[in-house]
Amino acid sequence: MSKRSSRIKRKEKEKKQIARLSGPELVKQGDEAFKQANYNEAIRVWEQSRAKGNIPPNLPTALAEAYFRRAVNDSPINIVDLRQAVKLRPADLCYSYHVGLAYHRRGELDEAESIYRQLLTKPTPFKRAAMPLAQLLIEQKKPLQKDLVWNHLSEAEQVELAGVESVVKGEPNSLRQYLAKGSLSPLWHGLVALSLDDQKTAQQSLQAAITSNDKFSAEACGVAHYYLGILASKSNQVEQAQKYFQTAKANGFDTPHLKQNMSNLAYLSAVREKQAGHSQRAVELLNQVESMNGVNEDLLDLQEHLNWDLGYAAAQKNDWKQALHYWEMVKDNLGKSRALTLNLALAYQNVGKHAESAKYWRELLRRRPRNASHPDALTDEKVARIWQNVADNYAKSGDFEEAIKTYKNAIKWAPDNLELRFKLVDVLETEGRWQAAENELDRILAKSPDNIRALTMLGEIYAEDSFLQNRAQDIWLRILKLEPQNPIARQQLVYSYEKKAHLYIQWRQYKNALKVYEEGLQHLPNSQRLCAGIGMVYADLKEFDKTRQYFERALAIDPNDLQTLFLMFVVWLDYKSASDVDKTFERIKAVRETIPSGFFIDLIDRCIEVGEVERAKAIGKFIEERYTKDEKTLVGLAEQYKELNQKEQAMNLLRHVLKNNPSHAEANMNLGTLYYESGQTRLGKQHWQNAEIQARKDDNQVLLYQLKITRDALLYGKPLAKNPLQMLKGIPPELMEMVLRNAPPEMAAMLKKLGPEAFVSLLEDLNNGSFGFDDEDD
Amino acid sequence: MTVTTETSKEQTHLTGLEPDLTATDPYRVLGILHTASQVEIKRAYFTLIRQYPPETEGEKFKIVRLAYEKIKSAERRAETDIFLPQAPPVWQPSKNTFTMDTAFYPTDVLLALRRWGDLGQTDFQEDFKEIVL
Repeated sequence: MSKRSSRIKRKEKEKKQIARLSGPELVKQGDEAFKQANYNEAIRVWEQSRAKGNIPPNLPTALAEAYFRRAVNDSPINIVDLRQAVKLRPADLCYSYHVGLAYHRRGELDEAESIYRQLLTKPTPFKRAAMPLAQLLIEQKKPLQKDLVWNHLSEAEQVELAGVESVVKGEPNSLRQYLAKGSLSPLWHGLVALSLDDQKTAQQSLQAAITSNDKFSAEACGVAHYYLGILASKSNQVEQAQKYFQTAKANGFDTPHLKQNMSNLAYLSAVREKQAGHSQRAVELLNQVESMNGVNEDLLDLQEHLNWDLGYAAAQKNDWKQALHYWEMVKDNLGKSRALTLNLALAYQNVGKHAESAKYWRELLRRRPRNASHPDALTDEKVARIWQNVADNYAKSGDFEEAIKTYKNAIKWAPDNLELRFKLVDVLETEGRWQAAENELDRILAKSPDNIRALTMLGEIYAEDSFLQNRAQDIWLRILKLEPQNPIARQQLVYSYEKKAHLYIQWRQYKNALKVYEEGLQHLPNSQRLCAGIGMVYADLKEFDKTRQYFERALAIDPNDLQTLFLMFVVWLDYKSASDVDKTFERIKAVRETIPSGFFIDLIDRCIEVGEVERAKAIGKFIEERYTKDEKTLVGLAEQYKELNQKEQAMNLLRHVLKNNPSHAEANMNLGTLYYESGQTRLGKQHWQNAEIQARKDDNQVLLYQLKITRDALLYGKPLAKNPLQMLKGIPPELMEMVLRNAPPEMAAMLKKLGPEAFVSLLEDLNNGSFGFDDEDD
Repeated sequence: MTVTTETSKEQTHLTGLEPDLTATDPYRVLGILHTASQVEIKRAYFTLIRQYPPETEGEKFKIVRLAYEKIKSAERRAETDIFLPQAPPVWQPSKNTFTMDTAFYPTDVLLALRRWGDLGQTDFQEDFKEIVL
């Protein structure tokens, strides 16, 4: 049952109970409610008792009193209840008097006057009605002293009211008399003095009025406070005036002139604060004015200026977020200001909202003065620079299409600005528009033929394509002619020869590969990679002495070069020259620099590939000794032992890791798998669980995914993905999210646009060779 | 009292010549006007680095140096100037005068009158009668 229906039922029950009560019982019940000042209940019950009969004769009197009390306790006073009281007790003139007062307060003066007069013309006049009737006559500017009511007033009242009447009517002569006599109460005395511009007397009397406070309500004191405020403001006591005005307002004195004066004072104070450099305080004062008096043009003008100023101060402190906060408050009203548009563009840019920033930069350009003689006119160079900034912002917001258009636009303004053209090339490359990038670089080189940066970028584009290696080499050689020690060109030239040589090696044209390498060595005689490459080709030709000779030449350049040592190890391993493998391994061990453990793991991999299990184990042993505290390496090594079917050794290694770090996720996962595969399913599951707990703590989505596919395969016989595409399709959303989070911003933006499904579809297209970029030349 | 706002002394460009090492504006850091000549810029820089030598005031020296780098040549200055936040334009005080209304309103007397005696009262317990049933 709902609360509402239960309440209705309870009330109905109460009604039934009351209906069962007799008249006297109801009267008694109402009396109790009356004594507890519950006049609603008293009236309700007593009204019911009247219908029952057998009630006391003075019940109407009691009921009238209940109506009266309820009426005067109400705010505003309830005139209907008062009328009910009068109806029940017409002889009680006090009730009628209150009806008159209620009408008077409501501004229904005719009704009020009529009641007051009736009360005063009763055989026994109700004298209290004289005072409000006199007040009413003054309000209506009717002659008071000629009215009959005058005789009903006491002498003191007559003096006071005559004084008030003179103030309202503005009778200076009478006022002077009253002032001289000093017979009025302080409030009226003060107001009389004010009307005669006797500020000193007014000040003293009003001060006395607000402290004595007799006969006046708080609201009446509001008048005194207001005029004390006026007197304070006349003597330039601004703060004191503000306090008086605020008290007047708090006491219910709420007139248009009070509001206006409060606004003026607050505005003046705000101006002073602003001039003293306290912009924040000035804004607070203006907000006060705004809440009192609404917005006006002057206020708005100062407010905007202050917000701009505060934003400017924040920007000077590098607090762009705060600067943006202030400037945004101004933008709607100062929308046409170029300076503010610039500030907003800067602020958005500095808080990383690049799309918005681009919008404001564009707006700034749109509004720039076109007349060259204008003081704010922008030179073409500056226009180009701002367009460049617009484009930079588009690029940062991931809108590369718009960035490209905008860079092109900027170039129109500054065709010789190469920096701008390079920016365009960067974005074109980011978008994979290689042909357009190449064309732009050609334009740069047409303007600056020996521009190393442009040549390098062009070389890099050619180098990406195996079939354009000749063109790439030409570029690298051209750079080296200009700058013989250019490190990029030297390195890229080596790569270029390597790529060409590898093509020949793939086609088993070893002699041609040698020619390529030799040609490379002519240009770069100290290239270790080229020497090592030649050694490798001689190995393919089974000319092992020459292989050794070139490997030695390579190592003579740098004996610690791990790439060369790795190549040597692999070549000798492939050609099963155990003594050369051993020698190479000894040289590796002698390398001075710290070798990443992954290097040795890779060596094990290669050993496993060619079936050199014992050598792989020996390297494993070496890793265990050298990297004894490196958990990651040891877990990697355990995985290799697993590959070598050395499960017991792998398990020992993993147990060793877990002894030092029981929560190690990868170690737990691998050990769990090994246990499971060896039939110890309970232990296996326990370790998997440990791995999962830690992976979740670390938010390691990759490991969680690995764990899932391992479990699926072992527990439910679900086959592992056959190719990377299948794997990608199976990637859970959390992992995909992580990939997107960690990807470079441009790639992440692209992938996010695509979404996981479209991404997999894109990879499928690439895999099938059906995907191509549309190059353009514009 | 007549309240008239004074004309603001603020200028569009900065007029304060005290170096402010906390500012982002390089001109403010060096304590010079945006309209300063290259010679003035250089002079301000040398004065400041004498005040903050790198050996003893490394951090301040870096700030001054960085500011100078941004405006040390006409080209760099042109680039920097484009991206400087703009101070508010000169504030023109309202042409309206903010005159306090000090007039005496007889209507306020009527307001007080309305709050006088029984009319202004809200508590009428004295008029409550005892009821005996």
